[in-house]
Amino acid sequence: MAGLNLILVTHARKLLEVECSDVGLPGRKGDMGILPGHTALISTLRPGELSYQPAAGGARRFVAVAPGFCEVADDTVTVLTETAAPAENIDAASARAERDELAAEYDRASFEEQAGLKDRVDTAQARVDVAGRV
Amino acid sequence: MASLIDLRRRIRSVKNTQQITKAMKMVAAAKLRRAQDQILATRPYALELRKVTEHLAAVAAGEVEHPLLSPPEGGGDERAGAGRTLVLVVTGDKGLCGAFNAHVQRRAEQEMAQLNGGGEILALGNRGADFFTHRGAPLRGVRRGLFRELSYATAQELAAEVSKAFSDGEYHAVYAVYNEFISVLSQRVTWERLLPIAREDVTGPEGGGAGESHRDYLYEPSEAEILNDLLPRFVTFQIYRVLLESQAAEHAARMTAMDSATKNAGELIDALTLQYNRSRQAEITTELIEVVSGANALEG
Repeated sequence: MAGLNLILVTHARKLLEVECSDVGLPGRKGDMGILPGHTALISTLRPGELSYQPAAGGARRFVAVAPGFCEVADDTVTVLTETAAPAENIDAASARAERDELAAEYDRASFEEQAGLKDRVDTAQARVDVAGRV
Repeated sequence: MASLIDLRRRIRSVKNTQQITKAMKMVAAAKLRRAQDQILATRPYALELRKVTEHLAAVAAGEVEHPLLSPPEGGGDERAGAGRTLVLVVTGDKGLCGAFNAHVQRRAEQEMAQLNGGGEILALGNRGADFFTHRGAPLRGVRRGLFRELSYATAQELAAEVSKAFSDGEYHAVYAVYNEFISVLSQRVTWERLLPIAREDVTGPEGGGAGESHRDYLYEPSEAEILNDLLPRFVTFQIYRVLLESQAAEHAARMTAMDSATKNAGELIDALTLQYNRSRQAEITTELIEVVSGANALEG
């Protein structure tokens, strides 16, 4: 059976390399679903929720990712991001606390500062969302 | 000639120093291993980042005008000397690592003297910060205690500041001087341009377009927009890599320096012990002669 190979890399390590039957990516312009045989693609990613269905079976898995980009070619999905946290590794309470803290900072920030903070707030929010998936 | 007690005290003190240098060597070895692992761990990211950036730069060549990218047609060198230069000098936070810090500082001063439009230094690490502040060199700023907790966030913050200053036209180029980690026994002082990003840097040595880069990709959003998103990440990653290299090189240099210090202390102890034994024997001989000649005098 043709499957997809998902490789998730952060600057600190290769986090994942798994066979899966489909991958969901948070594209900058909207969510994307990648199935085997997808055309070659390069896209930027917004902070959000990456999901995949392991080929080995079992439940669908979720990973919170920071902004980055992805490359799809030859049924291999390579995702590069600054941080990534699989759902099972996230502590929901501390994720929520971090989100609230950043959101408060965002509200206090000036308009120019907000631009720089936006991605961090969204990343924290993604982590909270993903933690709720387990 | 030193008395026996003095010699014994001296030997004890050298032994203590030797123990300290031996411990420092072992600590540096452990830290070096961790720093090396950290460098290796960034490899997959580096490869993929370079691949995609090269590809995009090749595809979008000519159409892309990004402030961080050098203008096309080798314009990068033409601009040299046209304005001020920012130099990132990466030193360690601590000494006791041989000529590690001194080499970087000397190279930085040499290069600074050759810059046409003048330059400013951003000193990273306590050692460089102290050195250049003391010398009264033109400083943009200093960062202390950088290596105590080296993280990607540090690099992000630095990259943001440097890129902004560069885009605002404060500097016409940004360079980095640092110790590159070659092996445990050798570090090389490297002078490297960070900004503007050279087109050859992102298009690869064979001019990009070779091999699989010819694949027809779908781009979302456009090539240029992706590239604009990518270039700042590229800069951040370069700075992160420079910091990691320097960190590994520092531990390696300290390890070597402490190893030879331990060896030197060993030699010193041997020499002192020899001297100690000799003077002890000389003292015994003198006492014997005194006793014998005293007895002779009584008999006579």
